[in-house]
Amino acid sequence: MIVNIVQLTNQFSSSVLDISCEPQVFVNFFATTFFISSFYVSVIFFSYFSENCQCVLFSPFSDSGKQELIMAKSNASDAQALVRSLRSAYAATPTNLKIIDLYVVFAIATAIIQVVYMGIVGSFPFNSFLSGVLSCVGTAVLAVCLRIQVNKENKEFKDLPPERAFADFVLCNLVLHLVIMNFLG
Amino acid sequence: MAASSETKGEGTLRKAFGGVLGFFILLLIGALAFSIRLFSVIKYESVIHEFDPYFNYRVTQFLTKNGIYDFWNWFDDRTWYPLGRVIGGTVYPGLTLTAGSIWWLLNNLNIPLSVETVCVFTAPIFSANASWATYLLTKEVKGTGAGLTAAALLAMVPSYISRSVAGSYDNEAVAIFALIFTFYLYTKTLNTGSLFYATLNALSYFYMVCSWGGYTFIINLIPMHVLLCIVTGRYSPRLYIAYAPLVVLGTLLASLVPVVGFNAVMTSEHFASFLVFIILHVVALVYYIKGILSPKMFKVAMTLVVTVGIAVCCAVLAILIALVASSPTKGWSGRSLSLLDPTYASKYIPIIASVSEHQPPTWPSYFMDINVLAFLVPAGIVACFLPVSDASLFMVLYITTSVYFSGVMVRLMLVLAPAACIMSGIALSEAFDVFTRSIKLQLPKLFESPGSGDIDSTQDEVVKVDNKAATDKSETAPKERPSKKNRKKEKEIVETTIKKPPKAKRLLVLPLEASAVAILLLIILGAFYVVHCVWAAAEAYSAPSIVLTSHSHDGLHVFDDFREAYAWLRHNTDVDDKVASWWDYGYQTTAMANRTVIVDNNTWNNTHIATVGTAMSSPEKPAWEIFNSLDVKYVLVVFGGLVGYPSDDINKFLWMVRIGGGVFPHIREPDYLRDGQYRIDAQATPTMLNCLMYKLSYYRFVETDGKGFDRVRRTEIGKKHFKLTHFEEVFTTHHWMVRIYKLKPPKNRIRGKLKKSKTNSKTNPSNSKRHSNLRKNPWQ
Repeated sequence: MIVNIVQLTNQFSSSVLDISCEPQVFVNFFATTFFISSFYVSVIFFSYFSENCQCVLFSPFSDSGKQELIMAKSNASDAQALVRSLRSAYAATPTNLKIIDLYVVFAIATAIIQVVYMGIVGSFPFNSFLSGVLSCVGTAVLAVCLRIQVNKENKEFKDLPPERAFADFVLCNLVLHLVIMNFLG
Repeated sequence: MAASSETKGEGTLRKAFGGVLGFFILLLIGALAFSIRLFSVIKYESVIHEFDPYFNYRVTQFLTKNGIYDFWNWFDDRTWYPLGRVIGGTVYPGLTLTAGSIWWLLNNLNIPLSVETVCVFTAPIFSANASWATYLLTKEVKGTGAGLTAAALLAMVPSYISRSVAGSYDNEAVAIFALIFTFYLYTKTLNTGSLFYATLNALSYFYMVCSWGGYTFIINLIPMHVLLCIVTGRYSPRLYIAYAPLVVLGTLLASLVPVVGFNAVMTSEHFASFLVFIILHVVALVYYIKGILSPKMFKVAMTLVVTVGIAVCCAVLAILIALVASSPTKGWSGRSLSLLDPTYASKYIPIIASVSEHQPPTWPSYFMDINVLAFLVPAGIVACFLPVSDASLFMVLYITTSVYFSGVMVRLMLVLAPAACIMSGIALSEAFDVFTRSIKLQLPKLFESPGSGDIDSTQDEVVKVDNKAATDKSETAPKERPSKKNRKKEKEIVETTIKKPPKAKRLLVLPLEASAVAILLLIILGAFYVVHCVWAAAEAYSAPSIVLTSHSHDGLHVFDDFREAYAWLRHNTDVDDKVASWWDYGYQTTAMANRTVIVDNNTWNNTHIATVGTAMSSPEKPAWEIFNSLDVKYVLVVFGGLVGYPSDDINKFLWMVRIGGGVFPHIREPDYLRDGQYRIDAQATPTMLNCLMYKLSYYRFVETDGKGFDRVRRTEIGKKHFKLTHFEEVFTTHHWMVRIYKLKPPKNRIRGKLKKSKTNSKTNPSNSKRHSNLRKNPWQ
């Protein structure tokens, strides 16, 4: 687990470094450093208190958006039941999957921030914008793939050992970030 | 099925034997694919063929001489004079880099091959690779037996041979391999759900993007398949792993190739993949929530997710439409549009329509190019549906789309060929499977009953041989199914056979005689295919088109006029002289004669080509002015009237008029047609008879036979005796196929009679001397 976390953060810092190579996207860099620090904090926090406070940590990330929409669309009792069942169902997922979820959410948030930044400032060094966003989307997608493969409830991947899945994930990330480093110019 | 009844030890031994046999069969298939493409070297010589390969050859030479960094930054000032062309940024580098690295590797191993040799043999080597990739792909879809059959069929399919004979050094040679290999890795990822194969898939897609513009076919076909899987309810996590990393990595890798660049995210050809990417994520989320919720709760969530999904889709659609409207290319590029709407090119872009390989094919060309496969394909499609899997669904989609595309452009017949081979391979192998199994089941009965033995004894031998091969196939076939789903299916099949063996067997058993005859017929069909393929490789597709041959009653004639003309240019003109010709001959002129040309086969600037077309279709004086303004010293025309070479400039002339008229409206096509007919005899219009192309082609033509009979158009020419005032003939090849003219310098203003006669008398002797040399007609 610890190795997992270290690897994940390594991946992260590499993607952040890629983005910071180009001076024009310094704001991106700051946003990402902010996020990475928050990520570190949350991961450390989580790894210490994971047994006690799963729901508290994860409800804001995964459920809040849906909650509001449900309120607007369907009647309240149904929505509350849904949220409750979602929350209880999600609480049952193993810890390592939750870490991956956090990682995915973080990557998507970084991508969204970059898109918003692009909308405000403009997309002039288009290759750095593209590589920044696609780096985040790519890490998110690969993490989702990893999550699919190590999830014990997926019967299709029962004979695939999680070590193999993680090795594939690291390889794919390596290729992705080599390409991004190259594309950044 | 047979393996299940046998003991385990025997089964593994036979499996190993089948594996070794399969390996050697694959080796032989590779050797076959390589050697069947060597007819052009044996019958002619080891030369680069046609037009585009000369450019690729020249680029490869530059790459091997100057290295990769100079190659990326290469600005070529010897084409498109005065504009030049940035080669590094406008060329698909896959082929050149492949051949360059092969050359580099061989040289480092102390095998001193010339660059030309490597270029000549690149295409055969890669067609062997392509047949192996076909084996892998078909194995993923339908098992080893079908794979071997498909690989053998692909090794000699005429459509692919036409683009990959030795010397045909073109992008398609490596691109077809890359295409099949990408599809193989996609189906492999789909079957295993391994991220490792997904990475390889993205890299192979990158190689495809490097080598051919046809990569858009992949990036549209795979999303279509994903969408089809989702719609038919076949979504699985494996599908997500196969597709989502491919889009992200593939887009990034594609934008690394300079010729694609930001087009990978800016043009509409790629938008389908992004749209499906988003849809896939929505679907994946739905499946995930369905997995963790109870069915009742899921119903509640479903309404929510559907509304959110629709809202997101609408937003994305709006963004996409906005992007399409504002994108620099205004959506689709010309070639892609002409794929969707077959009449688009002929309506709007004459320069695309003028290329013969962009025309729609005729029915005989299907029979010529894929032969008996055309009849086997429907059977293969049926076989794909029998137990439908994700991979077989993909193949069905591939064959359907490629049939459509091949109907639009002859050139895309090449994309159809692998699909047809795979389908026919599946059909043949399934048919053999059924027939041999029914024979195998009935043979013991045959030996028990006495009277019939002597009648069928000869057939039995044949059958036994087939039987052996087929058992190998059928045993190795069902072993490679790692995914859970397929395994389940297999189990089911096995279970059914165990539960009710007599019923299952009786369903598939055909009468002995019928199956024996059917096997014989199938073998004969295969034999016909082989004979046709060898004939096509030897006779139809091996001509290098720069050296022509013809058989007549007095033996073999070789027409080597093109190289004669280019050699003359190389040795007798100044290094910086500019040569004007129609764009077909641009690549050859730069590569073989090393002279600067005005336009070439990379038709990136329509106006420039139209300028040359206008000059060719103008009378002599305006043409001289146009050429002089372009700094042209020599004009090269190809003329086949003397020897009957049909693809000469007079036959292409109407396209010059159309392309020229598209930019310069004073050139009007009806001026060159008499009552809608294109003719060059006495009925031709005066505009036609006075245009530069007519004059340069038929100048002094009447001196050959006294009548001026054109063997291509099969008429006597309209205007026989005329003189050129602004051009002078400097060289005409042995068979008059290439004629080179020099622009005369502008005349002095002094018009004294004395001077004129003097210059005449001065120039005449040398001219007449040369003319007397040229006047010799080889046919008399």
